[in-house]
Amino acid sequence: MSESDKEVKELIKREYEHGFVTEIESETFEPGLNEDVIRRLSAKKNEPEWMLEWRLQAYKVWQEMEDPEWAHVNFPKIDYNDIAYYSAPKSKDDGPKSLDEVDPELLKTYEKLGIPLHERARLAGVAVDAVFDSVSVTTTFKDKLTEAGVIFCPISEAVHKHPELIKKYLGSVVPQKDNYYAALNSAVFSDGSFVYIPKGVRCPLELSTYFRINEAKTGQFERTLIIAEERSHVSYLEGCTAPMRDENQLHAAVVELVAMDDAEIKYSTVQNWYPGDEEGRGGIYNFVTKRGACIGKNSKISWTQVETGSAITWKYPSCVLRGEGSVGEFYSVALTNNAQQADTGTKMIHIGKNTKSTIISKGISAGKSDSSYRGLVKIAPTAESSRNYTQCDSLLIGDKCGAHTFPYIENKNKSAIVEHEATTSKVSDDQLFLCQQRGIDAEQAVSMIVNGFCKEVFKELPMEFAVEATKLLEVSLEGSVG
Amino acid sequence: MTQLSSLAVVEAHQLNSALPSQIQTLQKNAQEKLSTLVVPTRKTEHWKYSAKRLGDLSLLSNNSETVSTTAFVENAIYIDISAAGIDAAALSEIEESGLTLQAFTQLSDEDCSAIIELAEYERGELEQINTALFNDGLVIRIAKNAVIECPIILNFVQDEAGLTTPRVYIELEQSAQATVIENYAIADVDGAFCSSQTTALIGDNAKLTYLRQNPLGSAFRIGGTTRAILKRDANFESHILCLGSAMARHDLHVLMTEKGSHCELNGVVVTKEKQHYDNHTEIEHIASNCTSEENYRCIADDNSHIVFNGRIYIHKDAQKTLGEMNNRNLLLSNSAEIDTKPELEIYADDVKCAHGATIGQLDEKEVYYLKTRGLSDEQARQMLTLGFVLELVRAVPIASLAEQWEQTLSELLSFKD
Repeated sequence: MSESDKEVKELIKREYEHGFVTEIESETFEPGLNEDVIRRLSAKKNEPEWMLEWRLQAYKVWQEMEDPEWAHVNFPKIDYNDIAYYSAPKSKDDGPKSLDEVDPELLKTYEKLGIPLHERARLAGVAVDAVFDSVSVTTTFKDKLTEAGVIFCPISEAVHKHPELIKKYLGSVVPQKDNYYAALNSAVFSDGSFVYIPKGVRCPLELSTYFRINEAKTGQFERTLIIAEERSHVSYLEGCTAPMRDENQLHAAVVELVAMDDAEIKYSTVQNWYPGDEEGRGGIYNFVTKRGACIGKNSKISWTQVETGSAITWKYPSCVLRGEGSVGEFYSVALTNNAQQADTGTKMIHIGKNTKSTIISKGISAGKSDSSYRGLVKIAPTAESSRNYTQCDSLLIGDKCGAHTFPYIENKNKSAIVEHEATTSKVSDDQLFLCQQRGIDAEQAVSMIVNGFCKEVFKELPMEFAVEATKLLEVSLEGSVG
Repeated sequence: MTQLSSLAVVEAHQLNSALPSQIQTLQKNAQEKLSTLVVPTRKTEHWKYSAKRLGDLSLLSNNSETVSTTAFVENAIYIDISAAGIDAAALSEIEESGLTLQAFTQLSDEDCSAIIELAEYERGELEQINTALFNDGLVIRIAKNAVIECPIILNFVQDEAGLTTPRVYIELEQSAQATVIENYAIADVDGAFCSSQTTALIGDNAKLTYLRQNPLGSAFRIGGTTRAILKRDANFESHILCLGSAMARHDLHVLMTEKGSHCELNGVVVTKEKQHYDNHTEIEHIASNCTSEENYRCIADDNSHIVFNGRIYIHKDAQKTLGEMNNRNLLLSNSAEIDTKPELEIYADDVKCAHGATIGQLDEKEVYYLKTRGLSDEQARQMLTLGFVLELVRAVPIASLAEQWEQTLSELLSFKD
């Protein structure tokens, strides 16, 4: 083993830096799932009757479904009765009225995570809705957003304040019976973010959510709903962390986006859930359903994701291109190291005329991990002159990992053009040699090459996220060379 | 969910008592396995797009007629394979140095073991049906260093409805070379179903050129499996002309088990009317330093349906692999459908693998260019459509066959007024 390899091996031991637990009093349901738990959950949130009915209906649907087994991942069966479906920081009042009232321990947690909550937030121009375990803790910059007419609040609040919007759009993109985890989420979702951008408004701030699972043995089931009316524009960021624990924790979220005529939604995720230790013990199961509906003409939905965490990732952010001339985009970097497994990709469903979609997926596998791209491009007979371009590249680092590509392409319209390209290769010895010859050590060289490999995706990320993503990749890759 | 073992044709089947006992045991085991398999549905991943084309398998019956056909390539060895089995007497009349032809019924115990060993690679519902139900099989053996110049043509003939299960085993010893052409002639009637299986064991430095032509039809169904197992520095070249029928499926499975082997897979698929064709190819790189190249071109017109599922599977020890797969599709009608799924499954790091798939229509610029040269719109389109597949047809190593294929395709692709 060369000198640089040794350094690298030492670096591999670097631990997950967000793996702390915050000691705050919290109120958690005992583990278990039944109708009664859903009723209690709903009562806890003071929900109206129709919301409870909706949850119970989803629960019924869920009970009749079976967990999907088609993904290229292996994990022991989940005992859904061993999970607590509600956990919230205990507060004496009904809820914090301002930042000052938020538990200082909690604020410290977010400080540790480095999310811009206080003044830093204004500087960064980001409005944050932070979801801690199951409830939204605080939403910053409400005033500025209200001025613009933008609604950005916890979804539990939206149920009370904007029931007509929730009734109309909740489950309209991801129906309750869409899949196993979406059905589970529909039954037990605890909180999440709700965004409504009125006609012609360009959201003055980038909206952001930060998710953190703190309590042991809890699952996090948040639900995000974003509605962009005609000619509006919004950029939404999402980040996630969790403490280090030996057991696996479940995160089953649902994200629904709705874009009307000429509206644009840009949804960026940096996912850094705890990936488990080197042997694959612990870590988050990230089973997420994300889907956007381009309903209006010339609307656009763009997904950008950087996935470095989670023991298992099962996630396919999709676009249903219904409106004429609508555009769907998917830019993804999925990195797996150690024993992580990722089965991720996208679905682009072309229904309207002249719809366009672009898929750029970069998979990086290191250690003994497995990463798969699974995608579907479907052209319906009605999708005249639609166009898709897909590129999925995989990079292998080490000889024990796997990289797979499973693209499904279905075309029923003769005027559509669909292109798919995929390559798999490793960081070549020549590239490494060239860098080392110029005085760059192996570790840095790999990170440089990987960054170059992912450049097409990073340039789609909002600035502050792009910086974070680059750093995340460096940290996640440490020790994988040699 | 219907179990394969409960199909009438399976229950009515009687083992051919003339087969060596080892082969009979293999068949009995396969029959037991059928009880664990069900008739594929849309939810069966490898039948996702084609299950509805399978038809009602419970109506299938046995077929046992005998037939013979006429020659289509000069200087070739012709062997008829029909439901009744292999005519051992006719086989013994063929004399070619280095070539041994035998029916399964003539095999010694030792020969049987080799065939049974290869049965381990079998999978898939249709292949199990073949293994459980075949009456007889053909063994083609090419001796060490022998180069068989004239192509060996296997005529799979079926004149009426019913299920036929032809089975062929080809073995090329060290440095041997041969060309095998599979020709299917199946009666175009409802209820005609052919489930064939061909296994080729290609020895060190040997080369097999494999050609297969699937006939055009509208009523019969066919599901065939071809498996090639490559030893050190072996070479496998395949050219397939796929014309559609009510259900047509071909599984091509290449296993590169030792260093330095190479395979090249070419396929041309053209379907019209309500036809269907499903190609499933899998190239398994098991040993290091092997290369593979795959090129499939498909054209779907009218209400037809083409499926392509190509997979490159690279095992942990298959370092220094080069794998390339290319699938291009032309969709000529809005009622036609093309589903393609080029897959890569890679467990080794020092590899270079790429695949590309496109679905589209003719380039309007190219059409325009030809029109400026005085061609009518129709002529231009026809020329470009034909040109799209001819590149692969012209790579066929037997000139007379390449010409026939070109002729067939140009007739098929000529536009109706």
